[in-house]
Amino acid sequence: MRQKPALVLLTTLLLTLAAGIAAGNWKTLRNDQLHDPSNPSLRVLQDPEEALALLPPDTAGNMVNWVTALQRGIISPRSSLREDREHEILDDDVLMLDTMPLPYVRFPHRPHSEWMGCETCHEKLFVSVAGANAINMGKILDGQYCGVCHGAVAFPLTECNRCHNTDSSTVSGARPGGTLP
Amino acid sequence: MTSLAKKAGFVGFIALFVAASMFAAMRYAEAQSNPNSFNRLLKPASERNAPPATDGIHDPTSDGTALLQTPLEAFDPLAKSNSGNYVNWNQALDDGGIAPWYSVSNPNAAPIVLDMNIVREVKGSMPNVVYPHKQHTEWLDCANCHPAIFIPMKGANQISMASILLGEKCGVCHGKVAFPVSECRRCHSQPKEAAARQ
Amino acid sequence: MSPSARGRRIGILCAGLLPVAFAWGEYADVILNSRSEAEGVAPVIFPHWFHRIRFRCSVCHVELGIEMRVGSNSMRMDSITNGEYCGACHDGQTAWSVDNCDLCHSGRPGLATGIQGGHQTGGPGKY
Repeated sequence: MRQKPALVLLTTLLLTLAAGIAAGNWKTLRNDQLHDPSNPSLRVLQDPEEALALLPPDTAGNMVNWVTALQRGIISPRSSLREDREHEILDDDVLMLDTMPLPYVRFPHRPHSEWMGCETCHEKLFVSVAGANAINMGKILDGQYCGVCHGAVAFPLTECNRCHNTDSSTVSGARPGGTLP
Repeated sequence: MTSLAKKAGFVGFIALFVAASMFAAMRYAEAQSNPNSFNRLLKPASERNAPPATDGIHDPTSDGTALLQTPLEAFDPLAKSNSGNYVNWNQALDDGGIAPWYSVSNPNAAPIVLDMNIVREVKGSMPNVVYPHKQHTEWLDCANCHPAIFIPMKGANQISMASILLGEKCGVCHGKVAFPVSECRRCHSQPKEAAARQ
Repeated sequence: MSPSARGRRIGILCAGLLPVAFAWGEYADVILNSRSEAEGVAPVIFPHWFHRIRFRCSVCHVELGIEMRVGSNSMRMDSITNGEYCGACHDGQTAWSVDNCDLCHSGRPGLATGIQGGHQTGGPGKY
């Protein structure tokens, strides 16, 4: 019986910890080390948690699965400042085979074009020719190619297996940069 | 039989109308309570120039509130603008859409208009400020501003956007009754290159 | 590849994957301070998360022509009040107007221009 308070305390602690992890651990603007806490307008600005807690959770970046949020229609960000324009969606995957010991990269055009259309990447960041883009992790970590967004605003580069997602034994006869339906 | 059908049609119409307004009200409430609504901090256009009964400061239960004129009724014939009262008060005056008295005792008194521009060079990238005495003296008397708010002497007035936003200098009127400070370009109207050429 | 170049590359790889010791800001917050403090206002903090709930990437990065590299856009209040960059929406019509200085100019003194790579990567590069 004497152990009971300790048990309750431990359970409470664990629950708080779990809730903290589940809640995404977003910092308030007042405590994010970026905003000036003496700024009286901070109470007008939105804290990330108020907006992001409503969206599908994730384990990295904003702790939000932005692709799912868009695909399920939980958010519907505008595609254009003009009301009549929608993004062109391309639904194929590009295979990248030059991954040395790591699994191949299967790049899905669909979620990318849903968020960005075509022109955000083509032809400035990526040339639309199979095998014409000399991409490597060094450049990506240096903020080029995929690294323009991943590691900056899209999910971070610690999520290796989200891109290195295709076991080489499952793909045969593919050419570098080739597309898959 | 026809009258019954008419009645049924009428009731149906009313029911549909009520349902539609309830749906609209729900959507509106949802937009207000949804933290991720599009215009989180911006009043929707439909709420601009609200009538006294719903403007949030008048008592909607008072009989007097119902007698007061709605802003939209007054503003409807006047020239429009993008902010403040959404009325271009200067143009309304120039157009003759309104003819406010200049004196409490003499309806025919005419304002003393001074047509003189003051150019103030500003720091940063913004264009210089051109202050027109003309538009101001069409509304105001010299003594409204001089000498309490502005000393009538070149270089004697320290003006900054910070003080204006705090309600000093131009901010005594702009942001309270004259067009708000969000209309940057109406004051910052002379590009620096133009000033350099002169 | 020379051994030194290879070493440098591995170094970059490792440094990029090291978690940042302190979580500052929300992931993808952008700090703009190449001119702000020098011209007497607080640094700007732009929250990507708030804006991507309302707009897809191409609206700002294609239609408005904002380069996807912090510091490579010449954003000045002059151009913003002319309807460029932030001013395309922050005009009192689509979003609140620029007279709300401290909603954007809300950063602590001395912040460096850059993007918060979040609590996962520091990124050795040019963010």
